[in-house]
Amino acid sequence: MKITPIIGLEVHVELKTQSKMFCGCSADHFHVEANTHTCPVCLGLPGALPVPNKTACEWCVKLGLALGCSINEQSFFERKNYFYPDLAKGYQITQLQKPFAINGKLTIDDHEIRINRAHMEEDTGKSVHVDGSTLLDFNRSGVPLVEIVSEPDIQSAKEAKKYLNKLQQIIRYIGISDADIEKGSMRCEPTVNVCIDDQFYTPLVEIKNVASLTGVMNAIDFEINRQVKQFEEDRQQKNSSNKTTRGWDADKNQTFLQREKEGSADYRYFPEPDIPPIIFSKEKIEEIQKNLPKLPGVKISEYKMLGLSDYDANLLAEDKDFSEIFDKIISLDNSNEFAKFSANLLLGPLKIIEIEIEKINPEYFKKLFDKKSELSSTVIKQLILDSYQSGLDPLEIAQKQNLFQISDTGALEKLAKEVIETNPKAVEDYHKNPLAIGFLVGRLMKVSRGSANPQSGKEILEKLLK
Amino acid sequence: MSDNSITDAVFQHTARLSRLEIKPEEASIKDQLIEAAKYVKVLDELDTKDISPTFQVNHKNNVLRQDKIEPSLSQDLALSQAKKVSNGYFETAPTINKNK
Repeated sequence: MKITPIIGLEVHVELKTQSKMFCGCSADHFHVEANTHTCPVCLGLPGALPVPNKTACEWCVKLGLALGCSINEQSFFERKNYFYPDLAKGYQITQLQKPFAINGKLTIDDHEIRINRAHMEEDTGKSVHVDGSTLLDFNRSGVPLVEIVSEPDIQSAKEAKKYLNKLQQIIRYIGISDADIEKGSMRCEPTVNVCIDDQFYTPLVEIKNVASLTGVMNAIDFEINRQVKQFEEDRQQKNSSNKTTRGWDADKNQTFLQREKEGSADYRYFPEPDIPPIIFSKEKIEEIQKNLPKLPGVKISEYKMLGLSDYDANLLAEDKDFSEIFDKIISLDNSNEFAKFSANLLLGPLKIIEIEIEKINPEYFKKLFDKKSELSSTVIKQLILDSYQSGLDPLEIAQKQNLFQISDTGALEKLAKEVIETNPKAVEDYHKNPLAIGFLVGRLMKVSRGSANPQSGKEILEKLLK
Repeated sequence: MSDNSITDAVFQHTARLSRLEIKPEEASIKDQLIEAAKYVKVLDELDTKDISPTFQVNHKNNVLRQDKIEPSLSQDLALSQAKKVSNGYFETAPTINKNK
């Protein structure tokens, strides 16, 4: 039996604006006392007038552009009507016919995942379910939310995870949201069905309540298996009215039927009469495009052009702050050699510890690079760490601790003579077997406290022992 | 909209969407609704073939606000109109069946 999973993802991202989407209440709702950030607009009281947050609208466009979307020059909001206690107005203000951004894409390992839209809407209140009742906190009601809807192009749980990782990375790069799944600022609803033997399509299932990336993968995998088994039993195929919603139970590691959708939901969308259309001029769109930061994909290819490995390039581009400091460092010297030298230090000694990016001084990388012929590679690694921790110039540290390699032949020769005199046995061994020079070089390194250049030391010893 | 577009099924559906429970003795509401629909039917007489839909009549656009925090209501005031409250929350009938 041939099984092809068909997966689409709806991702909701809470924007980190100061204020809410349609009112001036603080958008902060994480660990805030219930119902202290509300007003007539976000409580849905009659007569209140919603006015869209300019920054939120621009950020939605910004994300759209980062995802390669076209931006609708004219957009408008609509009302999506349904009754649910966490939606006090009886409708959600969202976008349907004219969202801010349409037709984008994200490429995962050369596989293109089409993005249908990125639209702007408002979050609902938060429900807390206790015994016998539901408690409601409207601090989250009206927080700006962008919904990113993919086409059902994703083919596996693993690909879904990569898609989410990439989306999360872009969102964080452009600085519009923390996109933290565990905290709920990024929420994901996969829609899954399966094509069997290229001809049978199982009924669509939308999965809710997935609260982690691992959860997304497990829920998708569970659903694929469940649907294949179900199909073998009942041979039921997808039609326009058998889409269901299933919740994800992370403890039991399974999905469960939530509620049958009553036919196709009847949300009776209509244009929001209280909010005039929003026009983004070509100039404004260009300006937002121009101010987009360099995105991870672009950075990775640039780093690879500098001779870095695929692995290192990905590690460096993974985090925006980390890659920014790397960019600052390599702006001091455009040679590939310097890029590799700095990448090794950043990804080696510095990446291991929990570093504070702002404590990194790009100049120090350049200074060490310029003196690298006089310092051993072990010493360089130690120096970058010491200078990071103390804030001191690494070359000053090297000076104070006598860590510069002695390549001054006079000084080295003096030390070499000393080594020869104090190790007659080793000298004897050397005359029998030239490989025994290693021991003498080791002694020389020791008396020079690591500052001798091993190669020059070896040459001098050999010359003296001739 | 034709006169008989409000069938029993449409009527029931509309009532359900509006969370209205129509008792048998209130069945005449359906006829009233049909009457009301007839009243706006006069609009069908207009030829709107070349006219794009009107969502707004004030000819404004980009009415936006800056992203600035303004004072919110106090918790007491926010909850003051609620039928039932509990520890700073609005309380309502349970929305999910907790037996998964």
